[in-house]
Formats: sequence, C-alpha cells, structure tokens
Amino acid sequence: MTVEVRQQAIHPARSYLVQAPAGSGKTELLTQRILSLLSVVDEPEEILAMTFTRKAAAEMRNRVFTSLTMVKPDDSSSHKMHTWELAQVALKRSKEKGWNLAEYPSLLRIMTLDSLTGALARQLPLLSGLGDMPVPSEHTRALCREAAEKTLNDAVKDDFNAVELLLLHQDHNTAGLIDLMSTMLENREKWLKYIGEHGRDTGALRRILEANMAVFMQQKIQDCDAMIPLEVKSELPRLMHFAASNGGNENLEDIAAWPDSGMDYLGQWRLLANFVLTNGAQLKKTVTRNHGFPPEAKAEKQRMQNILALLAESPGAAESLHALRMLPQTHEFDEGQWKIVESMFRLLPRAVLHLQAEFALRGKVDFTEIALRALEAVSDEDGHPSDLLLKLDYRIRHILVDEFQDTSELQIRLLRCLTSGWEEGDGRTLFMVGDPMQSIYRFRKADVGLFLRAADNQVNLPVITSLQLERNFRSSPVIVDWVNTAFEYIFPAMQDSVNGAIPYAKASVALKHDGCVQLHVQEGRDDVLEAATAVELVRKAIEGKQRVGILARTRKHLHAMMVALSGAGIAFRAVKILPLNTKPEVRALRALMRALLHPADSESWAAIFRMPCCGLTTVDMFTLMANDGRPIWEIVQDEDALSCLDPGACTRVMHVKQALEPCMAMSGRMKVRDMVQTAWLRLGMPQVLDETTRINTETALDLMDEIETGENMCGRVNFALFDERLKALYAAPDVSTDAAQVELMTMHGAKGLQWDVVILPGLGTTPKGSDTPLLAFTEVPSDKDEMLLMSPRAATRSKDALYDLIRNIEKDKETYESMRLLYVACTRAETELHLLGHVSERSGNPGKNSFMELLYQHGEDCFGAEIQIMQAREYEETGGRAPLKRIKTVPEVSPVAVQVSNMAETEYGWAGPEAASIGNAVHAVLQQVAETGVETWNDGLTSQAIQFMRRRLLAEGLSGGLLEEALVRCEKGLRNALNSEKGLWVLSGVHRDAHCEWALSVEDHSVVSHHIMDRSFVDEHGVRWIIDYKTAAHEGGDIKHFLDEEQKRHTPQLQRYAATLKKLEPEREIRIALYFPMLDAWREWEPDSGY
Amino acid sequence: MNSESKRQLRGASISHAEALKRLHAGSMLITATSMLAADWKRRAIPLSSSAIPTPAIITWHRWLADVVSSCPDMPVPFTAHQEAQLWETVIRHDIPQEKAALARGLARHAAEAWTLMRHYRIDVRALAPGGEEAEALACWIAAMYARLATDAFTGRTLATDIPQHLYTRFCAPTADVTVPGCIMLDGFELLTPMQHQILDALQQSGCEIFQVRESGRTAAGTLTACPDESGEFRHIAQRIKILLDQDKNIRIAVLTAESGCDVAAFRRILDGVLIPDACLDPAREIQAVATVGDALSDWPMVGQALHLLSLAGKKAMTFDNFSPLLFTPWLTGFQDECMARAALDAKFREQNRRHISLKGLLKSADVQALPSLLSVIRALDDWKTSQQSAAGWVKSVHALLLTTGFVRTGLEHERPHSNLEIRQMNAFRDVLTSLVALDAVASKLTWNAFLSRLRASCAETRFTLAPVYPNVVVMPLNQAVSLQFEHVFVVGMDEEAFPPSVRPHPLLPVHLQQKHGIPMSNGARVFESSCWLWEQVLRIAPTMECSYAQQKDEREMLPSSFVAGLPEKNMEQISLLVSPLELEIFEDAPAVPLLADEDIHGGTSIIKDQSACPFRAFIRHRLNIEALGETTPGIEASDKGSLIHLALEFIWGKLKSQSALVHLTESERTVLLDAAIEYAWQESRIFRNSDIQIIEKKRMRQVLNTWLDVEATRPPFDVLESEKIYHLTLPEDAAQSCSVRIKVDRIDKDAEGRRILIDYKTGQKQSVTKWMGERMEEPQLPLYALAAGIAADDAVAFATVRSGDEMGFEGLAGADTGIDGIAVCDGKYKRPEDWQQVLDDWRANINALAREFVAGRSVVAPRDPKACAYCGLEAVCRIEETGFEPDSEDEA
Ligand code: SF4
Repeated sequence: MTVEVRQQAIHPARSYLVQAPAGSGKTELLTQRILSLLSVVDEPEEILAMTFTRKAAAEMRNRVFTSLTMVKPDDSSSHKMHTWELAQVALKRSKEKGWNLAEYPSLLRIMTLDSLTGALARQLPLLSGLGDMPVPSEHTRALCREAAEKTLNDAVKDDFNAVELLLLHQDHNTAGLIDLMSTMLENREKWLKYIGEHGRDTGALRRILEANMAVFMQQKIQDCDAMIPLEVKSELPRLMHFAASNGGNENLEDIAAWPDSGMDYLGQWRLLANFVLTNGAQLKKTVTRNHGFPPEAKAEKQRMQNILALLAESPGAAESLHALRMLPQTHEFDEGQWKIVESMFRLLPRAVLHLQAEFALRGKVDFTEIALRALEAVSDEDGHPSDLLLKLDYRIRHILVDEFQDTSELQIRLLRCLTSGWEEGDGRTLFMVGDPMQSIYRFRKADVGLFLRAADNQVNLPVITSLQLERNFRSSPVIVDWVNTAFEYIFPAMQDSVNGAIPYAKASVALKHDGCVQLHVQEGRDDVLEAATAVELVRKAIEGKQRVGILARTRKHLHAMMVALSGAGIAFRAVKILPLNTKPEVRALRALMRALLHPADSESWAAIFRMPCCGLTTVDMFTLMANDGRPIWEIVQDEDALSCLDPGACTRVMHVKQALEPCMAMSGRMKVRDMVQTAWLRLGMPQVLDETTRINTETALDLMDEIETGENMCGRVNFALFDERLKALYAAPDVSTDAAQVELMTMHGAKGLQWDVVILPGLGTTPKGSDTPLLAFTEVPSDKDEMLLMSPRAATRSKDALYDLIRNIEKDKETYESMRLLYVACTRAETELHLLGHVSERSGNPGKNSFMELLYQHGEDCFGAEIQIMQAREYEETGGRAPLKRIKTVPEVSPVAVQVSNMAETEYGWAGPEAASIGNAVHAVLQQVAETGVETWNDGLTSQAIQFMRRRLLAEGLSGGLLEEALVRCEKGLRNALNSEKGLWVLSGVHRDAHCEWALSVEDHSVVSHHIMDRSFVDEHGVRWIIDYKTAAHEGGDIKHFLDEEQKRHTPQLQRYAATLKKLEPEREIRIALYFPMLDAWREWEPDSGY
Repeated sequence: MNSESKRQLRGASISHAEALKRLHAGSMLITATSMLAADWKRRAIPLSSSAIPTPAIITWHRWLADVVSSCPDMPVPFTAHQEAQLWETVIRHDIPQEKAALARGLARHAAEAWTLMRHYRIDVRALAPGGEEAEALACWIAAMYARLATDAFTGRTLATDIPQHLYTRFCAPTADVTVPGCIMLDGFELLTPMQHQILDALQQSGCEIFQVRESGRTAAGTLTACPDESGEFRHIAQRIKILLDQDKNIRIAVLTAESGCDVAAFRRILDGVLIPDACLDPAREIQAVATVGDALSDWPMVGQALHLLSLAGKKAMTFDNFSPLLFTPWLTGFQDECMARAALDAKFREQNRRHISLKGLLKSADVQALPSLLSVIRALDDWKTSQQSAAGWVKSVHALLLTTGFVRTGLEHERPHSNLEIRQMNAFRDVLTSLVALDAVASKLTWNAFLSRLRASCAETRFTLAPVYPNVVVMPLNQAVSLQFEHVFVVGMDEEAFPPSVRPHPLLPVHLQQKHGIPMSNGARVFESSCWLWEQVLRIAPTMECSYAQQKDEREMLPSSFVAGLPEKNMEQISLLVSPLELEIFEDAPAVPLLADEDIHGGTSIIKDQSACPFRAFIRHRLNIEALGETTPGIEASDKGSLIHLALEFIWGKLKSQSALVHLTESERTVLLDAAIEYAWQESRIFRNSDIQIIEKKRMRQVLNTWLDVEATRPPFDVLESEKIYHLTLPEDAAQSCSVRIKVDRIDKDAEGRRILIDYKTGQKQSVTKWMGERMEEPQLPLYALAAGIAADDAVAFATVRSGDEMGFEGLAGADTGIDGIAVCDGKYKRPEDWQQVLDDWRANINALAREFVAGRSVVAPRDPKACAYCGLEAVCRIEETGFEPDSEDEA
C-alpha cells in the first residue's frame, strides 16, 4: 500500500498533504519529490522547500545533493534505486539547462520559514519597513522587557489610569507586569491584528466578545444536550423532583422539564450535572439518602440507576455535563476586568512601538518582526496577497513544506501569499508532509489544528489530496504493536482542530527484528534508584554494542541520571542538558569577569581567592578580610594586611595579585573578553582544569563578547544580561567517541532521531503548571467563520471564570500535546523501549498529568508491556562528597613585558576639521609651482592655483565659512612661499635632478616600503635636499619651541627618506629640511649617519 | 549571451613578466582592488636593489578620481558623507513620516542601486513597472537630480557620475586631460559596460590597452575536514605555525570563503598559537597576523566616548546606562576616584536607583564627594542639544571630550595614553572631522542626527592592531584575485559558502539584474563567477590547503563541490600548550571560632543562614560579604513588606485592642489607614517617584483594610507589644556567645490571657513544617518565641498579609485559640503532639545552631539541595565540585 502511496506522492504535477508517521521514511520521500520536480522545472529556483529548522534544511539539501552524486545501488528494488533513477533524470535536466546542480547545492531553495521571510524582507527594504536589514536574533527578551518598562514609564505621565489599573491588578508588582507584557510582545503576531481591528472601538469589541462567548457557551450546552439519550431527558426531571422532595437539594424542584439549551438555562444544567455526577467528572455509581433517594424508594432508586447506566453508555456525556458545571456563571465581563482589557489595548500598541524603537536602536530584531514585516510587504492593505511576488520574480512554482504538523499561523499566511492565484492543474504544486501525532512544538508557536484543517482543505491554500503513509521502517514489531495498542487508547478518539486533538493512526510493521517494551516501576519516588536501574540497562546495552538514547521530558530529570552514569564510569553525551551557569569553571570565569570590572563586588572577589589556582581556606579568608571594610583588591595592596597571613596563604594571595594586577590596570581599556581571558591564563586556570572544560569557558567568553558589542558598551558587560543569557546556555557534551554510544537529551530534542535502546526515565513526575498570560485569547470555529474569545488574566491570586474557560482550551492543547510527546519518545526506539516511572506509595496511583498516568490509563498492565518492579538492588553509594582541590605550588606568573613599540604614536594636536584639507591643497599647489618653476610662475597662475585649491577643499568636504577661511589660509601659505627667499629657493626650477611628490620604493630584508617626498633636488653644491612641507599653523606663543617639537616629531620619517635616497645615491651628501609655508619657517639638519 | 565572449577584456593580453617590464618603463597598471595594487607594488620592486621610482600602479577608482581632480573645469564630486546625506534627504521627503527612520538604510541601498545602474548603463525608465520598491527608487533618482540641478550644487556631481563625465572627456581629450599612452589591467573578472565604454574611448584616443594574463601554474590542493569552526581555526593556526617555523618570512594568504566567517574568533586563536607569550600581557598592542580590524566603534575607548556622548544633555537615564560611566577609565579623575566610584555604583544598586537624572546627581552628596566625577556630570548636564551646523557639533564634541578627559589637555598629572589609545583617538577624530562635509548638503543638524551619523561612521571604520607577521594575511576569498603568495589556505569551504547563494540587490527588479548580468543576481551568474574566482584562487600560490567545518551551528555540512575531490589531509595534532599544574586536596573550611570582640552582622538571618549552610553564615555574617544587586523596576517586594509592617505598627500603636478596631467608624478607619500609610512612608525612608507612591499607597489601603477585617473577626484580643526589639544572647548559658537583635512584629493577649505571637508575612505563605527539625528552614518564629519567652499556654503564628484570597493565620498552640489557621498540637494530621515539646525543641535547636556559629563551623554543608536555591555563593563555596547537585532555578 505504502509503495503506491509513495509513488503517487512524488507526482510532480499534483498537490498533496502526506501524513507520515514516525519511521515512515519521510525524508526520503521529500528527497524523491524534489528530484522529481527538478526534472520538470525550468529553473531550480522554482522549487521552494521549507523546513522547520536550519539543521533540517541542511540535512535535506545534503540528501538531495548526495542523491545527485551517488553511485548506482546494487539492489534494484530498494528505495535507493528509485532515488538514484530520479536523480539521473534530474541530472540530465541539469545538464541540458546548464544548472550545474551537482556542484551548486545552494542553488536549491531549501530553507526555514525564518530564512524565507528574511530573504523577502531583505529584498523589500521599503515595503517591509526594515530599511537596512537588521540582524535577526533569538535573544530579544531583554528588548521586550525594556520596551514594556518604557511603555509603563511613559504612560504613567499621560495615561496614569491605565497604568495604575494594570499595576494594582498585579498587586503592584511592576517587574511581574513587565514580564507578562514582554511575553505578550513576544507573541504579538497573535494579537496585533485584534488591536488593529478593534483598538479604536473597544465598546464594540466587548459586545462582540460577549456575544461570542455566549455562542460558545451555548454551543457547549447544545453539544451536551445532543449527547443525552432521549430516555434520560424524559425521565430525569421527574426523578429530580422526587429527590428534591425527599431531602435532596431543594433547588432541584426548579426543574419542571428537560431544560432548553439556551444560556438562560445554564443554572438548570448545572443542577442537572450535579445531580448525576460526583465532584469529579465521573457519573455517580449509586445514589443514597443524601441525594434524595431514601432506601425505601427502591423503584426510584432503580430508575435512577438505569438513568446513570444509560448516561454511562453515551460516550462523552458525563464529560460534557461536567464541562457545563465548569462554565462561567455569565458570558459577560466583570466591569473591573473589562477595564483591564481596555487598559491593555491602550498600552500594548505603545509597547509595540517602543519595541520597534528598541529594535531600530540596536539594529536587531526578533524573527517575528521579520516575518510580520515580510508578510506586510507581500500583502495588500486587507492582508490579502499582493501581486508583488510576481514583480519580485519569485517564480516559485512548487512548494514543499516539511514538518507541517508544526506549522504556525504565520507560515500559513505566508503560504497563502506565495500560492495566491494558483489554480488546480496549472502545473504549480503544494506538497506538505508531516505527522500530526508528532506535533510537539506549541512553545514554538506550532498549531496542529492547522494541519487538520489543511487536510480538509479549509485553510485557503491550493487544493490538496491527503495521503497517508503507514509502514514503520524503524522499530521492531514488538514495539510497533505496543505503540499501536497503547496510543490508540491514549490518544483522543475524535479529531478536533480547536484544541488540537489528534486521533491515532496505526502503523504497520516493515522490519522483522526482535525487540521489547518494558515498564520499570517503583512505589514512591526515588530518583537514585531509578537512575541506578537505568544505568543497569545502559550497561547491558553497551555490552551488546547497542546505541542508547535516554530521553526525558525536562532536563532536570536527566541530572540524576548523569550523576549515576558518571558514578558508574559510563561515558555519555548529554546534549543541551546541563545549564552552563552551574559548571564550576563557568562560575569561576563569571566571578573573574565581575571582579575585574567591579572592584566593589566582594562576592566575586571572594570567589577568586577560593578558585583552585589560589584556594584560601575559611581561616585565611577570615584573616585577610574580616573586620576590614575596604574592597578586597585594596586590602591585597596593603603589605601589613598580607603579613598577617600565614606564609603559604600569603604566597597564594600574591599569586593572584601578580596575575591580576596588569589586568586590573587595563580594566575598561580593553575588550572584556580579552581581559578576562588574559587574567584566566595568568592565573593558570587552564593548567588546573581539564581539557573538557575548555569549550564551556570558551562559550562563556564568547557570550561576554557578544553582550559587550551587542550593547554598544565597550569595555563593560551588563551583568544582569550576562546572567540571563548564560542561563539559557548548556554545557558542551562529551565529544569523545566513547561517549557517542549513550546520548541524553530531552524528548523534544530527540525528534527525528533514533536509537537501538531508548530509556525514558521520570515518567512518574508531574510537569509544572503552564503560565498564565496577561490576556488569553483563542479563535474557535463558528457557523460562518472563526470567532474570537478573549479575557484578561485575573488579579493576583484571584480567579476569573471567563479567563479560565479560555485557558482551558489551551490546557487541553497542552494535554494532547503531552500525549504526543510521549508518542514521539516511544517511537525513537528500534529494538528496546524501557519506560521508567513511579506510582504513589500510598495510593499506588500515578501522579496527576504524569506520563505514567497515561500509561496506566487502561490499567496497570501498561498495554501489555513487560512489567518489572524496580528493586532496591545494590548500587554504588554516591552520597560521599569529593574534597576540594587547589594547586600545590604557586606557578610563576609572566611579568608583563613593557612594550617598546618602534613606532611611538603621536597624538595629533587638535587643529580643527579643516587642517588636513588645507595641508593637501597647499601641498598640491606647491607641487604645481615647483613643477612649473617659480621663475616662470605668474599672477595668472596664482589665481588659477587659488581656484584649484578651492576645488580641492570643496572635494574634501569643506563648505561655507569654513571653506572660505581655509582658502584664506591656503592662499596665505602659497603667497608666503612665493614671497619668501626660502620658498623661492625651494620652488625654483633651476635645481638639478629635481622632483616633486617623488615616489620611491625600496626593499629591505624582504620588506618593501614606499615613500613619497614632497620636494627633492640637488643644489649647486651637489647636495641632495629632501624637503617636507608642513602646513601646521601656530598662533602666538613660542614659535621656536613649536618648530623644535615639529622637528622632533618628523625626524624619524625624514630619516627614512634619507635612508632610501642613500640607497639610490650612496655617495651623495644629503640634507633634510622642513618647510613651513604658513609660517614661512625653515628647519634643516643633517640626517643621522646611521642610515 | 556567451559567457566567454562577455569575459573578453579590452586589448591584448600580456604576460606577467611583460607587465613588469612595462611598469618599469613607466606604463600604468590599473587594478581592481587596492590589495592587488599593493601586491603589484611589492612585486615590482626587485630584491635588495637600490631604491627605484615607485611604479604607477593604481586602482580603477583611484585613477578616475585622480583624473577628475586634475581637470579644473570638471564638477567636484561629493564626499561619501555628502552623498549619503543627499540620498537620505531625498528619501525622507518621499516616504511617509512613520517610515522616516528607514531613510538612512534606504539611502544606502539607493546609492548602491544607482551606482549599479550607472555601471550597467540601466536606464531609469527600465525601473517601471518593477514593483513599488523599484518605482520608489525611480522617484528618488529623479528627485536627486532635481536637487542637484539647483544653484546650490552647481559644479558638483555624484561620484557615480564621474565615469560618465570622463567618458565624454576621453572621447574628445582636451589639454587638461592626459590620455595615457598605455594602460594595463589586472584583477577584473569582467568589466562593467561603463568600464568598457571608458576603455573604448581611451582606445579611440590612442591609448594602448593590455590585459595581464593569468599565470599558467595552478596549485594542487588538499582538503581537511574539521569537526567545527573553532577546530578548523585551530588547525590552520597550527599549520601556519609550522610554516612560519620553517621560514618566518613566508607569505601566506588565508582566504575565508564565507562572508560570515568569525574573523575575531580566528584572530584570537591565531594569537594564542602564534604569539602565546603576548597573550599573557593585557596591554598588548599587537596581533599575530594581518586581518581586517573590528569596527572602530567597538574599540573600548571609542565605544565609551560614544556612550558618554549619548548621555550628553540627557535629563534622565537608566541605571544601566549610567553605571558604565563610573567605570570609564578615561574620564577625568578616574585614577583617584575609581574605588569610590565603584562603591557609588554598589550603593546605587542597593538603593535600587533604577532611574538617574543628571540634575539629581549634581545635587547628590555622594557625587559631590567625587569632584572629578561631578565635573563630568556637570559637563553632560550643560550640553546644549539645540540644532547647529556639523562644524559646530564637531567643535562641541571635541570640547566635551577635552573636559571629560578623553582627549588629553597635555597637563603633567594626566596619565599618558598608550600608543593604542592615541591611535584610537586619532582615528576617532578623523571620523569626527570628516563629518563637517555634511554642512555642504544639509542645514543645521539636531544632536541626535549628528550623533547617530557619528556612531554609524565609527561603525563603518575599521581599526586594527599591528601584526607581528604582516606576511600572513587573512582576507575574504573574493579579494584575493591575482594576488601572489607562497602558500594559501582556504577556510570555510563548505557547500553553502561556495558557491554562495544568490543574493540580488534590493530595490532593483530581479529580472533587470539578471538581464544585465549583475553579479549575484541569479544562480547561473553566481556559478559562473564562482568558477572564475576559483580559477584565480588556484593561481594565488603554488601550494594550497582547503578546509571546512563539518558542523556549523548544529548543521551537518558537506565540503564545497569545488574542493570535494581534493586529496584529504588530516587535521594537525594540536600540541597542548598547557602543562597541568599539580593539585592537592585541602581542608577548605576549618572552623574559625568567633573572636571576643568580633563585630557580627545580621539578626535572625544568622541563625537562618547557619541552619541552611554554615559556610554561607560564615561568608555573610563573619566576612560581611554581600551580593552586588541589580536594580529592578517599580517597588520591590521587600520594600512593600517593610511598609506594611510599619503601617501595622502604627495602627496597633493607636488601636491597642481589637475592640478599638471594631468600634471604629468607616471614616475613622479611613483616617487611621491614611495616617498609618503616611507614617510608613516617612519612617521607611524609601524613595520612589510620586507615581509609584500613589499606586503603592492605594494598594496598601486595600491590603490593610482587608487585613483589619480579618483581625476584627478573630476572638477579642489586646495588643501587648508591637515591633518590640529583643537582644538575645546566643547560645544561652555559654561562655562565648553573640548577640542577636530580634524585632517581634506583635504579641497579642486574648480573653483567656493567652499570648499570641504574630509574625507578619507579606510574601509567600509559610507552612508550619518549616519550623521543625534540627536545621529548620524558618527559624524566625522559634527565635521570637525564645526571645519573648513564649510558654505552653501561648501561641505563635504567621500572619499572611497580602492581596488576594490568602489572608489569614498559620500557627501552633497548645490549646484552641479560636483563630482560624492556628492549629492545636494534638498529633493528628501530622501535627506535633506536644506544644511544650515543640517549644523545648526550638530552644534546643536554636542553641545548637548558635553554638555552631560561635564555634565558627564554616563547612560547606547545605541542609538540602534547596538551601542553595537563592544563595548565590556557589562560586565561593565551589559546591558543585564536590559532586553535590544544588537545586538550580527553574529551567528556561
Ligand atoms: S551555594 Fe549552597 S553550599 Fe554554597 S554557600 Fe550557598 S548554601 Fe552553602
């Protein structure tokens, strides 16, 4: 079956959406389709393939590229052969068209959504409103916060009420509010449009929202009503009456007949629900006197039991009755809460403007901004696709989208733009592939509901045909079967695009190898025992030369595992598991940075003296620092203070002092990274730490660099920002080949990967609750279109029923997604799948919302997995703590060589912006005079020269008064030269072998240098003159001193000229001179004989 | 179009040797890049000969500019700043107000686009219809020329138009245009139509044109696959070291295939390998090899000068912007005041001074104590931001840098600047003064406009250190055409980098670019260029080594198809530069008994810390080391808590009993609350701006009001004590002890005469379990109980006083107090059995902890992983090195 489907799916003229479950060979399919498209397109650029990550894009390109260069496989029936054949056709086409496909992989447009929108925005600087393309960055949280804070600070001046309302609503927790606003800003693509649509008329919005909410709630009642069997409807009101009159809830009396399904009857529905349900969502098992059924009323009781039984047989009835109980009392907003919405609608747009201003200031933006701008650029005012893409020459005719289950609203919008105007059968195709059962990236804005709706052709994209792959080319039959049984049960039965419910699609077995699925369970939670069990499994797998993946829902679950593996001496690769900021070497580096940048940061200074390269004890620290209010660095400078230390400790302190002294002197004067790294080296830290720490310290140093330059604040690093960013980095994995056999990562990170043995620890733990945004909103389908539901968060430590209702939709999505996450994790296994978790010691039940709860849904047999009880067997005690270490003897610290630079720099005097231009102009004119020969120079030429200088000054950027002043000075210089004896002599045309702007080159010890001398000639005595013009002005003061200084300053340069000429004319006597036309001054001297 | 014929250049081709001969005979060689010009100048100088006249070698651009400047009646081209400003003005007029901020970026694109159009002789009319961007460009060009036609700009021209002017000249040469007799060309891939045109004209006017032929030899290369970019850099550095060890003058080119190559990282690795000793010197002013420099604005001195300027004339700024000023080493008086300035920073952090105003600083006593800093702040405050000419701004900026210390006044006591600092400032001044050019094309500028131009210009200017090995050069691949080296490395040769992806120019319609064969505009064109470029690269040196990184930000990379077939060469073994130092195990935290006269800091927190971790108590209370804080927006929770405490103190000081409370009328209660809140703010000496105060007062009113309702509904009581201070000597009955100051929030007496000790909590709700055990989490109430002599008849409780629905008590007692939340010790539901026993345990546990503290037990021994959660001393205690895993904060 799958074979035909695969064949169909690569048809280059048809559009498809392919559901491709785990292990079904999706990448191969995509590759084949690209190859097959390549054989029909006119240009490779007509194909656009979109992937979810850059990594996947590279992989995909490599796959295509490798297929194009692969040798013909032997097995003629394999996928590979098919791929090879397709590649041959593509290559032929490439050759015909001169594409050089096999040499030029970048030609293929395989990219992520972000790169595509980036390219669009770059191409459209005006329409996108991005101008000079800013750098897209993932680290814009701080900018969002800044924007939010600025918004509050600003608005407090002109919209105090709004700010006050919001702040009080959050218990005047400004930082908290800023945080919530930042989250809103990060997700602004979701709500900006609502503000755009309704911002001006919030009254109308309120009416819409309340009406929508009423429709939504009513829909719930109707849905419920539809699920209740008729018999129940006719019978139950009477029984309620009976109960009311027999000591049950007297309100039950109110129900005369089966309630209508209108909102007005919500109260009755609740009563009804209470009547048949326990406090949970379960139907009552039996009814008693308390419920209004005294023991003697046998018949009624029986009838009631029958009713309950009927309800129990109606799928979903109990749940939906329960859901009615959870509905808010009213669909209307609380007055105070509505004010919050209004305030947010006023503040949030301002926050967006502030954010954009921050973006502009830093020259960086988040990916959302680029996507929004790109979309804006390619859509017309109403958000419809514009015909701009045509003009842009984006002749995209075929689009492929990978991981379509994780598509986002933005991606769909972009696809709509790219495919606008496509007609069925016009040769342009859309191909989307993904597995909704593996949609796990809600936190990256994925919305699996879109996949469902796209499969039904409901998202306004070109019409597609849905296809389904089902063969699993990865796991052993045992695993495939278990997964089929378990997830068929765990996953919801019905699909629902609102809350992202995805039913299970069965996989069929393609491979034959043995395998197993085991559940290792313990009563009560003991992470150490669990880790020890896992270590045993790992050990066995390693012996069997199998690759192991240990996957957990959160990183933290793996920490205990890492300790246990290290304890057992098993090398492993932990990918992005251990936060970098907890690594000792990084903590030390951070302290070093802070200390060097802030002498008053005593905590960081204390850390330096405790580092292994020093290692003071508490007693030493006490001697040095106690009862002394000075900063530590100051204490260390104090000989008396040091003398109190015992000699050993003193040497250690001296080591630190000597190592850090030159760095402290350079603090702020050099890049932070360089300073810290130098200090680190001088302290001898790299000699203390092992090689594996190097990558971590490098990463931390790089971060310093990034923050330093990113914040435009050279020589300093913003500490808070550094910490924030550091927190999001992870320690580098062990890259040795030994470690490759065992990999630890999060379940999310494992997507797309596979191992022989997969171990899933911590399945018994309960995930932490989801966060609560300032504003909850969602769109739900209604009769015509989609309708918006929205409500603000409740005040601090309070509740809001409308809000909770909307959040519940999100929570449902979350619940469904966590089922899928477990599915993803389980399907990573090729031969063995080990599930590890605990149940409550007391009740024997798994924790709420834990994965164990899912696995126990059908009972403790865990869908037929082999059950193993974790035994508290003997495992190595890891309790004992390692003692600290420090260097035994203090190393030599290299003293800082005083640098003797041979080219001591001169700070130029401030001569005004025009000085250099004047110099150039005068030089050029003097050259003209000398070339003409002053003897034949005349007034006409002088006025031409003045014009020439004017042009020159103009060309150098001078204008207006500045230019006129400069010209006056130039003219003065020229006239001085023409009227002075020295000037006339220098510029005379009678000299022998005369040159102006004489360019000479010389080679010396394989270094070639070039020199240009302003003026040179041989005088009547046969002396070679080298003269440089200096146009510096000097007003008032000691002219002699000034000339002395100038001579001193220029001597080295003139000396070099002399040396050059000496090579040319070794025998000739040389004199060097400076001529100052502005001052009509002259200095001459004999060059050093050393040249 | 046939690509071969396109590439045909003007004139006959000549060999390299022939070109040299002609150069020496005085012919001119025109190169495509300045790097190539320099290389030719090197080649043209014979070894160890005498000095010879520098041959005429010049870049195309330079040559055109020279010719123009020598013709007196040619229009004068604008400077780059002027052109940018002109485009910006034109565009700013055209685009809607809300997009005004884009003008700068669009100006750059427009200038580039127009230059391309000129070079490829694309008519403006071809832009329509080409989409909104192209049509806008057409408008801007028209507007630009309309502007240039005005009187103000007679005699001026866009640099882009120069070739056009010259072309006319060359066609009909006049006296002041000298047509060279012979021109040689080198390094051009293909000439643009404009270049063709000019050369045509020259030829027709009798100039002979030659094209230097590629040399015949091509290098045989190798390919090295490296795991990642830094591994690749390390490998190359090691290779260079080996080559330099053989011949320190060997000329090596390191070509980077990718534009995104992290040159700074490469430079650091090269420095580490080639000049390891210099890396130990923080004041080094050298780097190992020649590379392109970093942006001038990224150099500390210039960066900080720009930061200073950005604060000039600002009324208010955030602390984060102000703080760096306190550490700017170039500011006047830094030497003397640096420690005090750091202390000031710490103080501001502690006071949570999130917003700083210059006026406020001038008045602050702390700042006044630092005269030099004060002078800087005054200068910033005095800054006038009203519009003026660029020349005016240049002058003002210089004056400010002089008063604030960046530019030395030449006085004796100043710390001399290092060479590097002098060079940075010189470069900065060059940039600064070049901005006077703006005056020719713009009227007055606002300070912001001027500053942002200055910043942008500094960012565009490159600044680099002097290389120790100038013979080793790192440069982009595409700039190496026709250069000659002895060995060449090509780094980053992965499939993505070479050939590069298509990148058409924005603003110009893509089809137009493709039609005219503009580089980078389509795949075929890029591939063709890449082939040509690679041909050139092969001729740069006799030996070549290529490499690439197999992993690039988690992506698996393949080698570029251009190198994939080369023989493989293994990575160089990196010799470990460090020899490990011997380590010893040491007892890091022996006991440090309390000294007789020792000054102890902290109240109940001493016991709390000792209980959490002895090391922490030692650091915080014996060494008095505190964390350097950060400022936070608004009002902090701890301040809010103190205010509530104070207000309650006031209220119960006035009321003294519950009956007084219940007898208050509504308005009396309001008056009381208002007075209490005022009192709290006065007493707390917390300073926040009025908006924050207004809001917080409102909040306090709500919270207090609700809380009083809670108090009104419990059984009647009198207030015995409110905020009473005790001095507890701990441990009790010991020779050596310390005194702990304890402030008990409140003690009530109920109708039965029972004392109820109350501790207000304005934060997280606390649970009774935190009081239990030898090392309790919250020793506060047990300590209070000890201090206040709470006995078996009495009760103790936390009172949660905060917004929301959780107000109330949580406590323990021997018998029922009638207060919700105060549990009776009856052994049920995990409650303790015997109240007196609880009290006895508290006394014993607290004394034990106090004994530990006094004995100076300072070991690193956190009570549990959670104890470390907000400690912050991990770098000092080095807990993680012991194999203990502290509970870190939540995952990101
Ligand atoms: S981090 Fe933990 S171990 Fe270290 S001092 Fe703090 S509490 Fe003690």
